[in-house]
Amino acid sequence: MAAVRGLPEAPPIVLDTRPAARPKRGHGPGGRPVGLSILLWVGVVAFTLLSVFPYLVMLSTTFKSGQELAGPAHWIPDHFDLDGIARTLSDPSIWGYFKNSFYIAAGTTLVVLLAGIPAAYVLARHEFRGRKLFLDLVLITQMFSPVVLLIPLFRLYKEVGLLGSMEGVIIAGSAFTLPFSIWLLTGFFRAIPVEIEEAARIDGYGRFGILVRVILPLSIPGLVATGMYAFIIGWNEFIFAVTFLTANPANQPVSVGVFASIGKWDIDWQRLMFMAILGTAPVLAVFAAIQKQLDRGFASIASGR
Amino acid sequence: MTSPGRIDRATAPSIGAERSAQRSAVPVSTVGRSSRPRRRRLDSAYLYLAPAGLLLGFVFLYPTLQSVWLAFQRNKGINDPGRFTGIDNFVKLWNDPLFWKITGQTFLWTVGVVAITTVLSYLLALILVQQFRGKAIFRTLVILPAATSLALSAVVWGFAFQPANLVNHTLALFGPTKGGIAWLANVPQAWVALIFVGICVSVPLTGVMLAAAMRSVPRELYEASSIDGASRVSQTLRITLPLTRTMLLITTLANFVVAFNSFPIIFVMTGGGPVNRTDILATWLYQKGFQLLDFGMASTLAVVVLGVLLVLSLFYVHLLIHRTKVG
Repeated sequence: MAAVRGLPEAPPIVLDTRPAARPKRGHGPGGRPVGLSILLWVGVVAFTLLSVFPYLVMLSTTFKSGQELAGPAHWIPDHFDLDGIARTLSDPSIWGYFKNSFYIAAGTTLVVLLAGIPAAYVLARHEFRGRKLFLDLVLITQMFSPVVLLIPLFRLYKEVGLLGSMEGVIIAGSAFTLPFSIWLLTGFFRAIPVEIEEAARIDGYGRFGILVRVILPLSIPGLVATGMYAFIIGWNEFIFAVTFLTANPANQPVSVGVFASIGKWDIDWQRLMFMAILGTAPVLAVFAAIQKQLDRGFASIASGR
Repeated sequence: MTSPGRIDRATAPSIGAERSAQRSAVPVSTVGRSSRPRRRRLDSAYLYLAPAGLLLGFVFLYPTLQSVWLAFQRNKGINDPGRFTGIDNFVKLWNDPLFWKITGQTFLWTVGVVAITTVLSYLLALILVQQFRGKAIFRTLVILPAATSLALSAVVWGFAFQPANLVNHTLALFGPTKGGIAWLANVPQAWVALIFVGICVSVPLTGVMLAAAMRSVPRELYEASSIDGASRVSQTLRITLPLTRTMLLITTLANFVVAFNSFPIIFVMTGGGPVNRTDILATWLYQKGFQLLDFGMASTLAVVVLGVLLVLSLFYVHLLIHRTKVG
């Protein structure tokens, strides 16, 4: 991988000149001075605390009864109260929220993959008139915020009957997820050696045959990663859902359900935080699973391909 | 970028001919397309782009044109047929002191979030390329906020920032604070809280992307320079920083656009209050459109927001291309 333009690729032998006994740590060879070690650990602790703070708040609050929450703030619950969890799980409307979140996330994944795979494939492998124009247009969509499109989309959806439906949220959310997904997929498709494709072509496969029988089987990890990325975005969808589904609470996902309940007078924070945990846990698991593939995607961006 | 395409273009005619010759003998998946190789090549590329193109056209192109159309109308809500008023909306916006105030707040918010995020993410990336015990766990924990719904994060942070709640409690552990700070009730402390949350949610992904860029810097450069006696700090400043500049520019632009357009954090935590003092253009636009049902003015604002972003981004991309060419 020629990572940096203008730099000659170093011969691989260079690596062998390093003394074998020295542990390889960090960027350069050699150990780390004590001062830097301290700095490193200060950084590690600080970033960890900032990252986990909201999750600790969720956990801590989930186990505190309303009475305890009304008292002075503290982190460790006095007596771990499980009533909030029971109240949440016994409420049938909670499952509705989850079903909706899942439907929207799965729908977004499907639409993004169906639209993204063919586009990424021709963009990765073929030269055609308008290719650069398409890429530029895709780049420009990245400037858009969902907010600036809400009013025209609202009107359009009312006209075509998508207002209040989860499909409307899926369509809008997919369009915003598509550009980065195409980018990711293009990187994964490019990583497949052209020679394999050439061989398939000589065997008589057309473009569609090559895509389905050669490219897709070879890029399953990439497809899974992109699909999961779309799933996470769909699961976390908020702004379209809160706008288009206001009039139809039966179709609202978890994020909107939680938000809707903080507008009320008497907020049951204990129950709300457990809902937030339930609404966060699945995507965190998915995200942990695709970290490596996303890293590869970022690396390909970093190397300027 | 061009090499696969080029190979394809060079070899396509002969292979195409070969393929169609073979096809008559062995019927493989023909997908019902024309059998003339050149035409098929052209047609099918667009066919493959069609689903993505249609989706983007439906969600981006048509609504953008609609927005521009509505921006020149007096239009109060979904059932109003609308009346053309020329540039009245733009004049009204220009003369509205609140517009300028909120524009100022938008830049305060955006620059605050992006500047601090960039610095912290760079530090995070420097940590992420080190080897240390527990790194795998650290990596996983630190990236979590990137996968969490912004709306849910904002609800939780908003709860924690209540005066008698966990943020003040935690601050009090580190030193005496005069009573509880009413974080979200007034400015400027509401901005401190909002920008803080804005930073917390954008640092993880930015840090991971910068770390990816750092990993693509050839190791040999560090080895050569440490033979020359360069310290780690000077290696970071003289090798890492210049060679990750492109990614730094990309992430800064991306964060700028995201922060400028940011909606859930402010919408959920303060709703723009008290009295518009924590509004940014995006949240103000939402209020105008869906709380005051002034579709005309909201669309005018949308066009202004898009215009500002487009100009700033083009300027930035120009800078980026120029810089990286020089570098």
